[in-house]
Amino acid sequence: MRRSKSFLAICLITAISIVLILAFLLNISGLTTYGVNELTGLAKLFVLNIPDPTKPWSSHAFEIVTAILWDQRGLDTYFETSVLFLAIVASVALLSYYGRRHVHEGTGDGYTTMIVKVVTKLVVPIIAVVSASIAIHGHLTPGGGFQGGSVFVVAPVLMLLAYGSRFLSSRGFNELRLLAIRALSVTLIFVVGLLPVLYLLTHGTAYLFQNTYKPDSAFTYPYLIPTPIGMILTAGSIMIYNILEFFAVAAGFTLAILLLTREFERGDKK
Amino acid sequence: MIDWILFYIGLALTLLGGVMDLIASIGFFRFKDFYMRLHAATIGAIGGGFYPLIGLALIALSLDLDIYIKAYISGVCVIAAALIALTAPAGSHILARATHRSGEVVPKVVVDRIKEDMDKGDGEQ
Repeated sequence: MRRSKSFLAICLITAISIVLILAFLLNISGLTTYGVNELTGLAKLFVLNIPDPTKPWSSHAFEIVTAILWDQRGLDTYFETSVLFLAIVASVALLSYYGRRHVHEGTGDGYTTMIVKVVTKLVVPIIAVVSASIAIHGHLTPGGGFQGGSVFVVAPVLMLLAYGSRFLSSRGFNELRLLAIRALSVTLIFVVGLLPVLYLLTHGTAYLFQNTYKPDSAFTYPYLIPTPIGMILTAGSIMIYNILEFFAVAAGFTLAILLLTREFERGDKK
Repeated sequence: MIDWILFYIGLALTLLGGVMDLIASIGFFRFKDFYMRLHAATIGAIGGGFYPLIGLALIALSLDLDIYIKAYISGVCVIAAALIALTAPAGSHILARATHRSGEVVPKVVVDRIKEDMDKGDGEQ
């Protein structure tokens, strides 16, 4: 069925007029300029306290979202990571049951070309470097461990689509190793969060997932490390959490996509 | 003097990118076939993404700013443009090839070399 031109014109005019009316209503109601220069409530507490090293509740990190995720609500984020870990374990249990009987690993020769292989080879290192910088600078610029790990997963996806799953498996990206990296990273995150509690046993007050010193607790991770080229701001445990979370997310998603690609390459033949 | 030349070349490239994007969007709706629409989309990626980024890099170089800021902005623009120029043709190439091989869309062409090769059995490479 061929749509008429008047129908398209009516649709276009309706869409444009809806947008214009909404913009007009937003403007006359004053919602677009409401409180743009003022901080209110909780936002004032976070924005004024977290990046300021002179305040007692500071996290010594400039990126407030990452600081809230790993310092102010670190235990919550740890359980989110654990939920993701359980999901990965469940999908491995489902998918690798068939894979262990007769592993079919394709080389991708049937459906890729030389153009795609060359471009993939050029782009994959760039993706890896960008994802590592997103994770390591997580306490300074927008980003963090989860975001960096998610960006890194694009590289294995490209490799799997261009070269097939045998290419990655023959270079050390096998199931057990990826699952081990994932489990080790999640465990280490919890150990880093648990260290203040061990301090509490001998020295007085400390909190689970504590980052830097608090008014009633002297425990602190080193947040300014002196080096020969100057001071390096690591924001206490936030940088450690970001790097560990980067490895956890990258390994977990790579594992899930590796198993799914094997299923895809196996096709319908049983 | 060189600043003005760079600025106007960059402005011209940016405007050219806008015109290319407009052409691509019109073509995307007006072309009949999948492959022709893919052609229009590639015009949007290269003409509407690559040229304006190079133009922005030149404009940033021509501004009266600190050399570090200028180098940062234009460097980011050039890297992004290089990535687009590298990946967009490969992506549209494999998209068209996969569509042809799956048989979802039969191209309306006079000569179809891929189909001839596939019929002979050479299409697997």
